[in-house]
Amino acid sequence: MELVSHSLVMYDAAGMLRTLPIWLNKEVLRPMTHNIAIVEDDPDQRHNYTAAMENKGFVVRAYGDRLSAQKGIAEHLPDLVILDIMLGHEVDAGFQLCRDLLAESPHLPVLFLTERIDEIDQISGLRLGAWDYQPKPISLAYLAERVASLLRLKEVRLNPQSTEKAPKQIGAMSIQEDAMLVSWREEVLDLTVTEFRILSRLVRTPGHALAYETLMQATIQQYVTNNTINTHMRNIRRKFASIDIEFDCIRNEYGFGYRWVDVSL
Amino acid sequence: MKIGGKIIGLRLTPKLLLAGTTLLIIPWLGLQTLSAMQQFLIDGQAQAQLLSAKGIATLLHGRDDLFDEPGDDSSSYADFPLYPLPGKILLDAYQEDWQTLGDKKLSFGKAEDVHFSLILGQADDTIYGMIEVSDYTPIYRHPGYLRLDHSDHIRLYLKGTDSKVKDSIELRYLMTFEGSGRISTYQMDETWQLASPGAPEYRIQGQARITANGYIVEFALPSSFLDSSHQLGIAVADVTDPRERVINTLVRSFPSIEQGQYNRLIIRSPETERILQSLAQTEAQIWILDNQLRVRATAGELQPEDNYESLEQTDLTQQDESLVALLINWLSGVSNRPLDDFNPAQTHAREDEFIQAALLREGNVSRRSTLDGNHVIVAAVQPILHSDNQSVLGVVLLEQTTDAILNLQSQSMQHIALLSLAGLVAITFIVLIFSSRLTLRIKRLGIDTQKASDEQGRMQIKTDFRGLGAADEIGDLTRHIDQLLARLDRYQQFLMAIPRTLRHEINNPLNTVSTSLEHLEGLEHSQGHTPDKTYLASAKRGLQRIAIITDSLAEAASLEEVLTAESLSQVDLNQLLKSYIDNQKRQHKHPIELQTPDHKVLIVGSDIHLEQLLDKLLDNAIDFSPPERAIEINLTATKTHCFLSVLNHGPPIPEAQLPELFRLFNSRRDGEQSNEKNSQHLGLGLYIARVICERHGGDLVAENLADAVVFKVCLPLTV
Repeated sequence: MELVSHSLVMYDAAGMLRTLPIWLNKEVLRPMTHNIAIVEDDPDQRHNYTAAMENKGFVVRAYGDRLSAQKGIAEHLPDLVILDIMLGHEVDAGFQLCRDLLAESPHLPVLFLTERIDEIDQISGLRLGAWDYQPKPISLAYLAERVASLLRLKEVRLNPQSTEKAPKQIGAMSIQEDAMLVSWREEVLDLTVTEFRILSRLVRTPGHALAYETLMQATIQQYVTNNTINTHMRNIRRKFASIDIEFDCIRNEYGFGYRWVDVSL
Repeated sequence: MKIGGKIIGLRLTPKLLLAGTTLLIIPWLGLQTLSAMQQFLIDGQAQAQLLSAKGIATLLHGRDDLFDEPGDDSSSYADFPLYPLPGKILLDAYQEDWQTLGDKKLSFGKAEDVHFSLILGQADDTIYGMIEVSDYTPIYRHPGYLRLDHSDHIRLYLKGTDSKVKDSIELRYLMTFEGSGRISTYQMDETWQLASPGAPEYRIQGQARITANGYIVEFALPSSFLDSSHQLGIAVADVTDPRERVINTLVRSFPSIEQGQYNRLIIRSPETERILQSLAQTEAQIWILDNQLRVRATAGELQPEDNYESLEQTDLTQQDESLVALLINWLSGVSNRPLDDFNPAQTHAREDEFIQAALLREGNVSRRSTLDGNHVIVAAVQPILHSDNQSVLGVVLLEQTTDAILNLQSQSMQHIALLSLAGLVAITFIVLIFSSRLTLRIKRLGIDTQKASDEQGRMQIKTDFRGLGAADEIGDLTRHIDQLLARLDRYQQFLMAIPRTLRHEINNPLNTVSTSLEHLEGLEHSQGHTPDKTYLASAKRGLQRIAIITDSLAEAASLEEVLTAESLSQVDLNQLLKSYIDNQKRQHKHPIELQTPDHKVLIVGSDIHLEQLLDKLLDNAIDFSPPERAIEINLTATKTHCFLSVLNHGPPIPEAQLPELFRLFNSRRDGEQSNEKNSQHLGLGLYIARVICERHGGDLVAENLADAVVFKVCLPLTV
């Protein structure tokens, strides 16, 4: 397995910039031919995305506005759609497009890639059924990584028997890495990709405190702060609490990071 | 005046009312006007009276006949002044009815012998007389005698008219008495011995009273008995021996019976009075005096009779008259009491000084009080000239009270008083209503304005201002404030939106540049170049910085929102702090000294934001602390609050910078001071720290100590 070095740039709450090396699986970056649709109104960015994706071996169709995108996607159904939210003057065009697309093909992975990084937009996007929500600016390498990861996830979810690994059991929680599925007391949690990655990293070493930096690495996002981690943690806790009000496995390690405490042990 | 931070002073309503009291000057001005008018009217009345008097004088000009004294030549013996009497005389031989005339008595006879004093008066058509005889041996009439001259008696000589003869005839009447009691009067024959018709003359009545000195006779004689010459003689016959009963002494008021002339009655000129009757005015009295200032005629009365009655009646009903009316009467000088100006002495002759002027052929005006002192009389005199225009025949005196004017003034004053009172009440009422409305509106505006912003000075969503439609200045003010607040609101929203908008807008081009850079990098690789990574790397760093800046800005801007949305829970600050410092000690080489109490410090808050607060404070302390000196962190708690201090031994903060310290984008760090961690300092840290403290209901201050700088957090504990 060949690993490619990338640098992950982060800064913490104190404003300290950290450059961390991360290692990506080359296998991930060389997938079988997939069709990808990119909807982005800015021609420069559209061109950059297209070029990057094509470099990675994807077949790319790019659209600049909502109507042409709707028409083109209907004609050539892609394996994955990358959507910007604001298209021209239509501020919520991406959301509308997402709704229409998922109404037609419910299993189509949609990745929002947008400058609208407010929490409310993120929640709206994910509620519509999008698989991931990435804020701009994004590194093309990470974009490719996420796209590949989503495609793999799609494959796993469509063909459950293809996964070799059995779900990993940690206390009352079972976690299935490939399908990115987490269930607590037999109930499936609806986590985003980023949340799954953070949780997955956290439970890898139960009982050990993980530093913010470690968790930041796990998100595979370009710019992450302590606050971002805190927000994700709050959301994860909330999702657990909606199933089990007693849930208290995620603990704050003030001034350092977080710790998974398996209370059921 | 400022007392304890609160400004004390008059509110709007009392101010307006105070200003309104100047209106009280209006009734005062009215009063002044009325007094001036009163003076003017009285002067006018005096002038009018003078003119009237002049008119009367002109009318009588040259009427020498009216002033002719019948028998002017017989001045050798006394005339009988006939004093006008105020009313009917009760014939009782007592002097009560005459009291003021006591010193006007005329005496006849020798003092050592029998003598008598006499006083005569007139009321209506009757002449009254009072004869006081000094006789120590009064002899009464004896019923046995037919002759009437056998006892003390009084003889009346008068010139009368006989209806048959139509000529002047001599009349003799004798008044006799039988002790105290009624007198009997008989017309006598010429010898004064027997009654001529025999029957008593009942028209002449009288009463006798025996006194220690003699006797007093009071009698009434109808004036129709006298002819136009008005002559009356009186004689007292004294009988001393009760047995002989002959007349011993006869004291006469006139010298000789032979001359056929008796004492002349000085009576007012009936003709003149007739003339005056036509000139009589209401509430005015006209006097005609001769050049001796004796009264020749009068007409009119100062106060009509019926006036008395009505006044007396009203007096009764107005016993409990209002104070206001009394005050007005006092102010205007009106008296409701009946006028009393009767001076019997004046009825015969006037001696007022100002009348003397008229004798010098000049008119004159005078003002005086009535004798009772309650009223004011204006008097005007004019001379009546002789037909030769040389001498003064007499004087016209016109007297009138000022009551009419004063009554008019009193009425006006009542009018003004009522109007002023009503006006004042109305104005006060209006001022009160107006001012309270004004105050209410200003208060309302104040409340609305205060509601427009919260405690932190942020604009509220939308304040509905009341009274926006008013056309006046307060309406203008309300609209101005409303517009101002609307502009402020827009501005604030604009300011709040800036960081987020900026981030949104910058992220797109940032993304373009960063993806393009990435392509560029890949391109260089693929084309086999050994790229100069320096420029690419610096370009990337620049981009990252921009991304961080916009992110920080957005974070700072949305911090309050996030904090407000954050669900709060109970946090043990003591435990949190210990755990936090433990973790920090592992990461930082910088020495940290921590002192905490040995009990829980429970506060309600958001743990991750408290952690953020500690991050900012510690980061700041480490940046400024000398590397070898420890950061001292101290947590203490009282019953209600906990205090967290973070102390570093760095250089003191200049006093001028202290208040600025917690403001957004205020950074004290320059490149040198910044630590080795290549961090970005936008001056957000302390701002965020303060916002977190305030959101937890506490505050954050910085202080310079002797060799250190301390940041103190104060947070309220869980109740």
